[in-house]
Amino acid sequence: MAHTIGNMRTKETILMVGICLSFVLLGLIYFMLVDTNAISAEQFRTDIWLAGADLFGTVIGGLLAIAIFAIVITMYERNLPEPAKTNPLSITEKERVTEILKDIVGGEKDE
Amino acid sequence: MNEKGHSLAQLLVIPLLLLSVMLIFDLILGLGEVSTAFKRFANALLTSYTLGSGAMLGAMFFYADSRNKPLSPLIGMLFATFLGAVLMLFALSYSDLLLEGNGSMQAQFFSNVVHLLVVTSAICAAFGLNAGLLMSFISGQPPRTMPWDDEEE
Repeated sequence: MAHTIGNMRTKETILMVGICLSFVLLGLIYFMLVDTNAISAEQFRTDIWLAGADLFGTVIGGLLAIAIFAIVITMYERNLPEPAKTNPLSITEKERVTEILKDIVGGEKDE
Repeated sequence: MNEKGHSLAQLLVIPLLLLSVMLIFDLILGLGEVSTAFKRFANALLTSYTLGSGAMLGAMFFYADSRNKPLSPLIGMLFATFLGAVLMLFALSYSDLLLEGNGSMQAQFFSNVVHLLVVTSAICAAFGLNAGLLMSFISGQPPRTMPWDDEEE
């Protein structure tokens, strides 16, 4: 099933993007040329600019906020001091580590 | 056409052609009233930035929880939000720099927030619609058969 979804779908992707964008743009061109009961062509052309300005402004403002969030975190992380060095293992700790490693490497014990 | 022969240029050729036609029509027929578009852009950008920074300030609390609650990133993000708010306040109160036919600064601010909600809803709806169409398109196709036999267990 995993092989049948999302793999080798270039043709479908082209169809999807082509159909969607063409449909939207054809609609926009139609309403830019033809006066309708709801809106005149002149008003529609003005509204396209306003909608575009709204869309781009919102997207750019949102991206700017996310970029500043990332910059603040990056600056903070870079200014963090290096972690302090820990003391070497004591003899007891080394023995315990050796014991654990032996258990792991040795596999299951026969009972 | 084979599966590997498509490129980005092929993908975008028809929409770009239509976009060019649309822009040519727009130029021939007149651009309409574009002077307010700059005000709308600045309003949308400032509102989106300020409210987005506020949301990010909230997210910064979760980040601080995972880092022994440091104050400096919180203050940094608070300053960024404050800067956006001050810029918006200044631009809205300075003559009619960003006022678009609204009588007062408060009315313009609420108008901006409503515009932001509408645009955000439109973007979400577009994403949702495309995701739904994509899934229906993909799942509507008959499953492809593998060139080799299924492994028997």
